[in-house]
Amino acid sequence: MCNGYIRVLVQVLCAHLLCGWVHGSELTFELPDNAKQCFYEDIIIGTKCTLEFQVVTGGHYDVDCRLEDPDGAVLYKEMKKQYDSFTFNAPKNGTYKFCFSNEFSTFTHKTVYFDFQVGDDPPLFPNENRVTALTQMESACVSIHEALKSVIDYQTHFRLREAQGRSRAEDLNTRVAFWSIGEAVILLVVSISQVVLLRSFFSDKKTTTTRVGS
Amino acid sequence: MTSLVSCACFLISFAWFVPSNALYFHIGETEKKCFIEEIPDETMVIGKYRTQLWDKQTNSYLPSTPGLGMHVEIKDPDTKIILSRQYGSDGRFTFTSHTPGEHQICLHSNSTKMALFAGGKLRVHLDIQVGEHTNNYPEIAAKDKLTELQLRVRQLLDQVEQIQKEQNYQRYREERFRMTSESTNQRVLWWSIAQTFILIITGIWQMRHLKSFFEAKKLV
Repeated sequence: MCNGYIRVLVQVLCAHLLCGWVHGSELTFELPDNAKQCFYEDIIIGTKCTLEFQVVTGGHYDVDCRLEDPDGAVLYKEMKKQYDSFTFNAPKNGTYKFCFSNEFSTFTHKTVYFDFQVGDDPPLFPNENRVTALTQMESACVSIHEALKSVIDYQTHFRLREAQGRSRAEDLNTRVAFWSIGEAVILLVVSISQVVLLRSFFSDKKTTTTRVGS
Repeated sequence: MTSLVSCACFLISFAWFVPSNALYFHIGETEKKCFIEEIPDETMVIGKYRTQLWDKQTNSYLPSTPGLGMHVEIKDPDTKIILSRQYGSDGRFTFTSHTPGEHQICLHSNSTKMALFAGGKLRVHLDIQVGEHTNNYPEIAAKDKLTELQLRVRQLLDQVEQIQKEQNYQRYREERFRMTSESTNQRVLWWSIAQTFILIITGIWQMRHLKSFFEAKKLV
């Protein structure tokens, strides 16, 4: 009984390591102004890959994205995009490179989220172990798993959009506070200086007239 | 039996450390790179990294460099440091969030001795897994002695729990957003009233002051 479980464990681990090229990475990083950040990944020919990115905060919420294959040929290139998703089948073996560029911006930092999926998710159990097809229960579990994965994906995108909206609202809040105080101060300064200036005009005239008189 | 167990142990330890074919990027030797993870509370995060140093002689990245270390610093949403440790050139760090929000994971190399080699570059392989992706299902299956079906259901349960935590976090964030918007609304209202008031008062003061000034100067 124990032997059986250990055997299953070893098979799963072997499958996990053999399918080492199958995985996904999602990262959120800050891209300073005039900066470019590149990421590299080794992909096997024929693997289906998806690159999805979204700008979370900063400026006009846009970034340049570029995806190149091992020979430098551009597979995907977009300028000033806020959100996009690109799926491709790797045409050759090698290191693929994708870059995000904020070089067009002079002073805004951008926070960029990306999700790079390589291949499909590894199966929970290796297929070699199966003598029959999946039972109804198991195939139901598989479809629920896929549906939940897509729910999690939608949740992530919703969270990013909400973060965007919230950062704008917080910006607005601080801006309103500072500009109101600033305007009140400017108003007082301008009105006092108007009165002082006007007084200074009349004071000078008075002294000149008296001098001329005497 | 024992050979199987030792094989399993070896494979587990191998899969434990190495981010097999993870994404990689280049950083300068003294550069600090930060990643943001916005997560609900009580969520586990496991990060694995591997670093390679650029070798000028062979014009390639060395497979491993002993003595090269990375300093990992993790800050919680209140910018309090929850983890600040030095690891070797291959490392694995893990933490569990206690407050929901944006956690910052920062990496920089400890190269004070490497600073002599100007323009040194590091290749960092990084893999960060959050929430239910941190679960090692083969291990769970072996530990709890679950059948295939039970393992699948366990995976679904973990996924649903993660969705639930995220929804809860979403409720908390929406409340914050609403509070910010209401505060902005209040501020705009009060400050427009205050500014109109200030305008009227300064107008009245100006006129009265000038009137008394001209009367004193016998111009009016």
